[in-house]
Amino acid sequence: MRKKDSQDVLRKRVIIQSLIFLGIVLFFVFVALHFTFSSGLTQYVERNEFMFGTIVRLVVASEKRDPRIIMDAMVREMRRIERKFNPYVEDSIIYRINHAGGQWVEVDEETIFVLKKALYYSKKTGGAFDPVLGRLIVLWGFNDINASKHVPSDEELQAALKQSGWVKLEISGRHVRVDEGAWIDLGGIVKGYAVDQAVRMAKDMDDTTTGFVDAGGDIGIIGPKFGRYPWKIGIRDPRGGQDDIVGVIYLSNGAVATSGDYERYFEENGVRYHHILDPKTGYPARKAISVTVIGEKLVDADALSTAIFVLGWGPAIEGFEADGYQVMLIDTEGVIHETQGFEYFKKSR
Amino acid sequence: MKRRDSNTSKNHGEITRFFSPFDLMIILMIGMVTFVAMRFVSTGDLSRKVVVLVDGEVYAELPLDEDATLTIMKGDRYLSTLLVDGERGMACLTRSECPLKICEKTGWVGPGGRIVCVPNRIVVKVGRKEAQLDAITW
Repeated sequence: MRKKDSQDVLRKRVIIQSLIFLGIVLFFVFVALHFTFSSGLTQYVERNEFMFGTIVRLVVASEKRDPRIIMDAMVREMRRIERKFNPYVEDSIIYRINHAGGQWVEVDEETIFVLKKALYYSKKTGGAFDPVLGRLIVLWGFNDINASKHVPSDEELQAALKQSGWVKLEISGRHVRVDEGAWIDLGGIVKGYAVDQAVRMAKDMDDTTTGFVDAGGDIGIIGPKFGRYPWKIGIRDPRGGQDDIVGVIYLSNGAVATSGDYERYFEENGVRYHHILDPKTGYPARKAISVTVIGEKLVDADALSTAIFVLGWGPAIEGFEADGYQVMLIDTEGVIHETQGFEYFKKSR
Repeated sequence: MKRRDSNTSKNHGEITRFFSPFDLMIILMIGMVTFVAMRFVSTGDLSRKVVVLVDGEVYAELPLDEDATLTIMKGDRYLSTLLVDGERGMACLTRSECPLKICEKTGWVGPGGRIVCVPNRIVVKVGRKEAQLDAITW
């Protein structure tokens, strides 16, 4: 009797022990599968393209459609915009305006939208953003990555300055004209516009699409990572290596653009000459080495980062912050200036 | 204090009633093996590779832990040379056929980094690292 009791206890013990053991093993297997494949439910596809004289990286995921089809459409749209607004390609709309001998040219609504946007920022920034600097840009050789670059003489600069300036551009209804000899160059805004259009297209094709477009460091967010988390974006250290950063921001939507003197430059007699020109002097702007702007649309952040790079840190920044833009500027001494709201984006939520 | 000691000893007794030290050791080992396997599956061997893209297409994949020199060509045209320092786990581009040499000025890049040569349409992606950034604004 006593032996039977003892056997029962032993059997129960073995059964309970086995069940607990099995439970623990299943728990480990579940945890492993969860962490390995949960993030894999949303598969991000990455693609690199060379456009706008830089590398454009698309990172896209979609629940309803193949992300590669969405990316094909995004790339097509960006290439269309690049070609349409490239002032140095003969069949582009901007080339036609630039070479119309000062006559009015009828254009489509998209062109009017982009040109009006450019003029809006010219007026708002007192000419620090200027879409009619084509002559100066060509003179310095910044229009083409393969063009030879050199410091122009004073005479050359003065001649190019006379053929530059946003006041030479006029819009009337669906017609546009620019003074004879002056050249529109929308390099400071059209990349942002193209990214915004690509982002819009991705969402139109499938509203579950998430990811981002990184056009040479100017980034438009399509949607949060895995539909939930903000994207972790580093801000490059302007005097460090390509991987060195001065801070991190978190974005679930919106856009961020950075203008820096390290993007496109050449050195002559130990002096760095970069591509962001001061419309007043014709020389590279020297009040900042890096400006980052966070905003709703990249077209606005792109234009403002260029303008603020020329303006430097000053009272005008408060106005931009009131309009909903956050700014971080690193001046020539390496001092970091930030608008109050910039801090908000440094924390992951 | 006394009461806590008594509870601890009671719990300890319950655990040892069902599991011998050998059972606990097995459970611990399963946990460790699962953890290691999970990490291996989730990161794969991407952390130790250098991927070279030309015109958006994969041109070459090299291990990051072995010294290597790769001549990058496009048809008959020489573009650049990739160097891999296996000991430091870093890569760089050198002797590039481009006007501004920005890719060369990028220097040695470690895991998580990228080298871009826009004129030659070359992208070099160097491995992956923990808690990496999704992108860099520049």
